[in-house]
Amino acid sequence: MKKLLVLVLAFDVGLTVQAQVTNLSNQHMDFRLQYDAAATGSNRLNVILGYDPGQRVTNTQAYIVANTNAQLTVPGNPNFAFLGSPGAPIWILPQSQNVTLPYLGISAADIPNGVFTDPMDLELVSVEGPGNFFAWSVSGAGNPPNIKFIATNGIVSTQFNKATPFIGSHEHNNWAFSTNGLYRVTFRANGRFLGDTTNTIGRDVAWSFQILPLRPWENWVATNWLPATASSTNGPAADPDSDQIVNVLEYAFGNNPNTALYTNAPAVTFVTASGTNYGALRYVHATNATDLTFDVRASSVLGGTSASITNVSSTVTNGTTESITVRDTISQDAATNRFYELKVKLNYP
Amino acid sequence: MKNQTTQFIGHIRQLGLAALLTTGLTTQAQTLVGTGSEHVDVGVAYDETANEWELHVHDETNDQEYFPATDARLFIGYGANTTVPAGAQWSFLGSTGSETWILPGTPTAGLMLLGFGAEEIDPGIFVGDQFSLALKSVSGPGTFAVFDLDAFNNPLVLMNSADGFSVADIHILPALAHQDLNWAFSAPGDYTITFEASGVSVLNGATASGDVDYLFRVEAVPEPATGALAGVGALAVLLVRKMRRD
Repeated sequence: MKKLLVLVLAFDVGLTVQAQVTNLSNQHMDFRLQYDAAATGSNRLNVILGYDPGQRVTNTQAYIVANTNAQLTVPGNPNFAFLGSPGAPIWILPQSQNVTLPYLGISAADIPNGVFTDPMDLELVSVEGPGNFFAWSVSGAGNPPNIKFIATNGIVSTQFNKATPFIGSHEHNNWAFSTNGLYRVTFRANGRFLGDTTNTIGRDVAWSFQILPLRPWENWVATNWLPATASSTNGPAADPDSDQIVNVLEYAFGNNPNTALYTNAPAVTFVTASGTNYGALRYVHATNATDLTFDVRASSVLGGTSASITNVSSTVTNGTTESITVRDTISQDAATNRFYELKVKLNYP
Repeated sequence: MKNQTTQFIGHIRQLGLAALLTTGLTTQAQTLVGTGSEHVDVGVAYDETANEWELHVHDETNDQEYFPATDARLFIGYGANTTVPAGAQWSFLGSTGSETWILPGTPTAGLMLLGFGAEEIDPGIFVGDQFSLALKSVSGPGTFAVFDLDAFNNPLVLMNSADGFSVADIHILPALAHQDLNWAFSAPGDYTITFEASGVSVLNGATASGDVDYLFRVEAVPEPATGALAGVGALAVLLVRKMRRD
């Protein structure tokens, strides 16, 4: 049994350049509630980010970035038990200005007077990321913290899901994450028009936080897509370029996830060991994708019971990738049909 | 007992004199700023062309600037009256349970939100993009402190007159700073609080504003509080008695 192996040669155009994205890591910045009287429905209320000096960005234009010095530990004070166990790590963007960390507030200063009932609402809709999310303010003198937002295991608390900034004013909070990583936090601005009995709900606006260090996968995601991109586009199982290679495999193979090229896919080959021929699977591994587990499996029936094969017959390094060949345990002569499968697992919290 | 009565009257006369003096000195009318829930800054600006500092009061809510700063008198309503909480970290305000007036750094109904603002100082003006603001002196009926809070509600003391004036009363601010802070006074009355800003200008080298006065008024808790009323009554009786004897 001989097989002609055809290698698909292609040029990878490289990672998408995103010159528009600003990393905000140490400025005074506010989520600013916006009212657009000319818009309709939920589009009347939006959330943008203003930062010093006088700059404004929308959610796809900036990451809010906290360096590693944001990491503290949960204190023993029972008022802060909502953050986790005493001594547990917690990453905090503080309410008091620290020039080495984002100084993030919530502002309703752009909401005109005489349109809405005071105060406005900034509602937490969802949190996607590797950990839990919190926001609170402190007012000192032994007062309990004023908890604004809690989202644990991806579920937003029904009790702590809003901040209520006063029209014309702004307020600062402590913003916390239970672990480092890339987070996508969705808010919406709500307000009650004067004379109305119910709130008008604004549109969902997702904001992305990088709590450093990012994991390799998160770095790759942040490099390849704009901030606030939904997981339906940049999640591990999504295939935004419709090339049949889902994102986690594009990542594993060192491909561009936004360019439709069926390249670097695993290939069946043959190797000789001690004079015996074996079937083998060769796959490409981007060396910076260190948070993946590769499992090469073989079976005699397509879709049937498979077993892991681990006999690496060669590793060839080629720049930022390596080509790894894993051979079967059953020789070519001893087998009738053999089917090989590559399972790639993303190790993520 | 008789001696005590005499002392009381003497004290009252002194207070009266002090009040008169104050009135006499402040012939120039100040605008009372912060009687509502205004957002106000002790604002620091620097003109590098003229090498001139402009320490002012900025009422952001009403879009008013007061320069010189003594054109304004910053008002701390009696709603700020509270007691010093327990815990060693709060002892810089006085002994646990003693009276204090704290203007909080979070928006609070009926109280001014007061901060340090340097929004007019752009990056690139000062070496290190930072400058210092020092508390130089406090003249008034009590002590004065400015503090921030960490994420877990513990105070970070930035300035405090109770332990004198030293490098511990110098607060470093970044360019474009905007910090809403907690302002504490140990007694009601009028205060003159003196700050000095300094930094190393990229253009002009080391530069300082010199002493700049800010005026504050801390409102006493109004009557009636039963105990206080009784106290006033007793005082009046003593006064009357003494006067009869005179």
